[in-house]
Amino acid sequence: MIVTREWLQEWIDIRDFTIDDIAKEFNSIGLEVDSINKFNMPENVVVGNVISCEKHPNADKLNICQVDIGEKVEQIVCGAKNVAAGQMVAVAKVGSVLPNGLKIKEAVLRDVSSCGMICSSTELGLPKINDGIMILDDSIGELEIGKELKDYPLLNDEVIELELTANRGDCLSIHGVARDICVPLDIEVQTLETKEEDEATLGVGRILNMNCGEKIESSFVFKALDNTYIKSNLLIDLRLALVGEFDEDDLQRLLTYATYSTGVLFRAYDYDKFEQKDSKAILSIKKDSNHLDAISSKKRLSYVGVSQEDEEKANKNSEKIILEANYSDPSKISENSFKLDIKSDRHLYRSTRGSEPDLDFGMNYLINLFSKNCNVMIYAGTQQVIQDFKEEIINLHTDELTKMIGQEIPKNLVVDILKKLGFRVVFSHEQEAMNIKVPLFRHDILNKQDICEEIVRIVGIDNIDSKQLTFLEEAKHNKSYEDFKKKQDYRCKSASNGFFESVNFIFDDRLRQDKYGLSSVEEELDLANPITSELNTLRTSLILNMLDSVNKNTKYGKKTVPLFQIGRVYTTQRKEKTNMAFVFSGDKDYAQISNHGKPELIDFYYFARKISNIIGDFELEVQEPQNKLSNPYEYAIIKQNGINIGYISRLHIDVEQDFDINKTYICELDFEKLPNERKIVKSFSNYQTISRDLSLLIPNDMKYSVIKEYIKTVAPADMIDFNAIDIYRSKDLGDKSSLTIKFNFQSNEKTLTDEDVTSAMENILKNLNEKFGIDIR
Amino acid sequence: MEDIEKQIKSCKDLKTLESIRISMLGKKGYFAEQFAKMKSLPNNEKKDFAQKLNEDKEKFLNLFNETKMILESIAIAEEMKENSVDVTLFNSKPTSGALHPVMATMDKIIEYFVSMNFSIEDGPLVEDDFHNFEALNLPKYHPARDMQDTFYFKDSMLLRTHTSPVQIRTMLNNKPPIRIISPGAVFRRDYDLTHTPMFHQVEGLVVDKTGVVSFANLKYILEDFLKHMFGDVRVRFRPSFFPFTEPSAEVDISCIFCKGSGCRVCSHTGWLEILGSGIVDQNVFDAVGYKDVSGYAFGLGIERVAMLLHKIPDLRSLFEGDLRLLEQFR
Repeated sequence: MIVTREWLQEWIDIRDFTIDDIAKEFNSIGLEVDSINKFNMPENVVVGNVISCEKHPNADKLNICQVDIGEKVEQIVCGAKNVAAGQMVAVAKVGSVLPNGLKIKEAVLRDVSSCGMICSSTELGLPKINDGIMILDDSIGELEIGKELKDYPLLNDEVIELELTANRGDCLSIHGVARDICVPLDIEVQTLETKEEDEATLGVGRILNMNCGEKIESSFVFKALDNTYIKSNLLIDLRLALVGEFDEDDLQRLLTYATYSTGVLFRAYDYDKFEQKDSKAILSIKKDSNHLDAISSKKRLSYVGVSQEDEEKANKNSEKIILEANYSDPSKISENSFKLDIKSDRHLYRSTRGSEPDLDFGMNYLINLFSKNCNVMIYAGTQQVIQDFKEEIINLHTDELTKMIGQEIPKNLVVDILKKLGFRVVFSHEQEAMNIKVPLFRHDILNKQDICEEIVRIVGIDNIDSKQLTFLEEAKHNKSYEDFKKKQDYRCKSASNGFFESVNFIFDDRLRQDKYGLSSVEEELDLANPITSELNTLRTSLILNMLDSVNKNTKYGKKTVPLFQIGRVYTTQRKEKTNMAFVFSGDKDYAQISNHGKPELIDFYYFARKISNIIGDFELEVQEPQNKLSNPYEYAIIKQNGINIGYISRLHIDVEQDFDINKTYICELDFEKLPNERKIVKSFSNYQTISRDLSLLIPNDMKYSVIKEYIKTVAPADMIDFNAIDIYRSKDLGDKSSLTIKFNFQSNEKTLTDEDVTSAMENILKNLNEKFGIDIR
Repeated sequence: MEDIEKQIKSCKDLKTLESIRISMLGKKGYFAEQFAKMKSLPNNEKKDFAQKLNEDKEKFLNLFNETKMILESIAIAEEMKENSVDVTLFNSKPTSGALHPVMATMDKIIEYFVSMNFSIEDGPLVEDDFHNFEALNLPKYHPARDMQDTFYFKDSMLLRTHTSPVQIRTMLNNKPPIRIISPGAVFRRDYDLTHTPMFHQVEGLVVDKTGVVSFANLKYILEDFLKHMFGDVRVRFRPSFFPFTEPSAEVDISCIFCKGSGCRVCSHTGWLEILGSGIVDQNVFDAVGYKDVSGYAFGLGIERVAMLLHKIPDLRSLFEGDLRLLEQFR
């Protein structure tokens, strides 16, 4: 909602306040100020009178004008189509500088000298109202030839743009805003003067016959006029252009301007398009099957508050015009128009937020506009249907108010504020209670809290003291808190192991999910209105979006890209679960002294080590990949305590190529299955640990896990652990590999001797030999 | 003997010293030789000779050990010097990973409210109309629904447009008093320079018997919280409108970049809009069947807070795993 100082001045006297004062009050009462601007007419731009206007002999599109600018008559060459003798115009004199930086100098245009420029509205920094020059009229003040435009306050206005909240339909007009801001400024709103109608004037009944059906829920006031000419004026045009509601037709402009000024909704119909009987237009109002009040004659002309048929709309050339002012309950309009999805016009925005219900006030304003600017004959009286909209009555105890606010506001202040805001208040001193009648234009006020809000916004929230809330202790420990701590723990571990936390959208591309063999949310449960085709479904895995991030980072020249994420993913049934995923692409380390500037590419063992550093010990089980993202030769299921918690793998080389990225490893885990238990310490021995390495020749296709599982079954009591530490293949070994396993021995009772360990090792070797036929290298 | 002393004193390395030791203490060394001479001495001279010899030997050993210690420490010093490292070659840029600034900001917000005895509540991202709109005083045809462009599913479920549905879920599952925050992702159908279809919010809700919780309490906690997040800032409340609170207020802090004098970040207003808040609307309590209670609620966007705190220029980079950004948070 845009307001200007001079426009507000029509209703309230704010000459004593600076624009900053006013803006501060707007903010403090909840009408948020978005911006403040000022129009400044440049120096040396004056009112001029075009005495004559002739075609330029050497240029079709130019005119040679003699323009009286007060002290002298200047010859000005003007290219505007709409320039004509007799016009009052804005003349930028030689030496003036326009807001766009243009300096006006004497010039010769096709052999004709030109001293000055006749300006358009935009050349002066004003809103655009036409394609040619701006023609002045006395709507901006009495025109004096030679007077500087900077001395016309209406052209040098200050503009405040307010951001209105959806409940404040009452402030969608200049009058409405004035009515609200006058309370904190402590000034009065001026009332509209109404002209007495001449008794000799023909009554509206001569040309209009209105029929009203039952169950109508809206109010209407109709008037009629005979049109000689209808014309808007410069001030109206500039203001409508400023607020972005400029119309081509002068009649529409007057209606729009009256609405913007008063908040009342207007429509105008062409009398000739009505069904007629005895020279009277027949007009009927009925609630139609769409539950909306419709105005009809031969056919439907409009839905109140929603739309109007273009064909029957009056314009400035219509000879007889029927004017309508209307009001309906905003909640009903919202509900009915929402259900029906009818094509609507500008009225709907206002009617659903609450237009001004005082139709007589609005109609009087509109009639005044016609009288001042046009030559029309207005029929006396009105035809109207007025509904008895019930005003809300709220009872409020002062104590309730104090409890809501947390501070006592003096009773008389409360009553004073409410009265100034247009509420009617009866205060019962015995009961310390108020009986509050809400004005119809504040349809948003429905209960005690709404009243409280009115008090708070006028008193000012900054004038309410902050108070600590004392609160009884109660258990706050719950699963969500544990989840938060668990996530935080895993996130911190991931970061300290070199991974960067990434946050990606939960959206994904359905086609791509399918391409990589990932599940998708079932079609009938999927998004109905996705924002783009790349984000047209929910993700079922964290990996794809993270690979997009790897691709971006690789493009930026990052050689090592380690990312992790904990986030929601969806099952085919659109159930939510939380996954944790890791992606590591490119070099395993940054180029530095310790690796002689040549870091190696990430490999399976390095990546898996990082994962185990974060999630703890796990088992790997070789399986067929479940998706097409993974390289089947470097793929394993991750198990903890025998439970499958996810997978780890290299990315399939096809996928690395698709994403145009370096060697990449991925791991995706079911976060809910990751351990979140306290550590239990095992007793530890005070005796020395003895280690032995054993190198075995095994068949190339033999998996270590087979050997490992077997060793576990034959391990002696004092063997505390064992790990594969090397695998070696060469031509010399043929179809065998050399596997080295390190065994650690330690007893809880004694220091083990060499003999103890040697015999244990021999025993292990013997068993392996018997079981698998493998031997020491 | 004096000659030996000179030799030891001029000795420059352990190897020479060792050869001196052997020449003196070895089987065929000086002292062995001298003691052997004793046999041929008359008995009355033996004692003095032996005494003198022992004194010499002790003197030698002292001198030898002393010199050895010195030479050893010189040798260690030399060894260390030989293996010296140009410590300035070290590139001190950390190579660890880092937490995401939005998530880290969320952590900081959560930690404040947990310390103020709030519990954390979580809720689904896929919501229904009742929890996301209806129960929050946003009936289907309410004009305020325009404010939130919603992602819908084909079965008329939706992606939550704010964290407020968790308020409703919490109230439906618990009896008052309630004192919770609920952080998480939210979704709006909007994608341009300053909007992403997903972002994060934290919601707060406090409910107790009528008259216990007031607007003044809301002011207190938000002022304290904003100081926790932004340091010494001024806090301003402006009346506003949200369908689920009444009275409602938007809360601004004095600009943390220009200290309120006006700059580009605050659009020369000196203030930064930071959160929305208010007293819970009676219609919300009616929707969950609460009677005789009052409460306050507030909510803020985490991306905005993180971007202000760290002066992050581009919203979208937050969702792209962009290492140019993330590496700066090591």
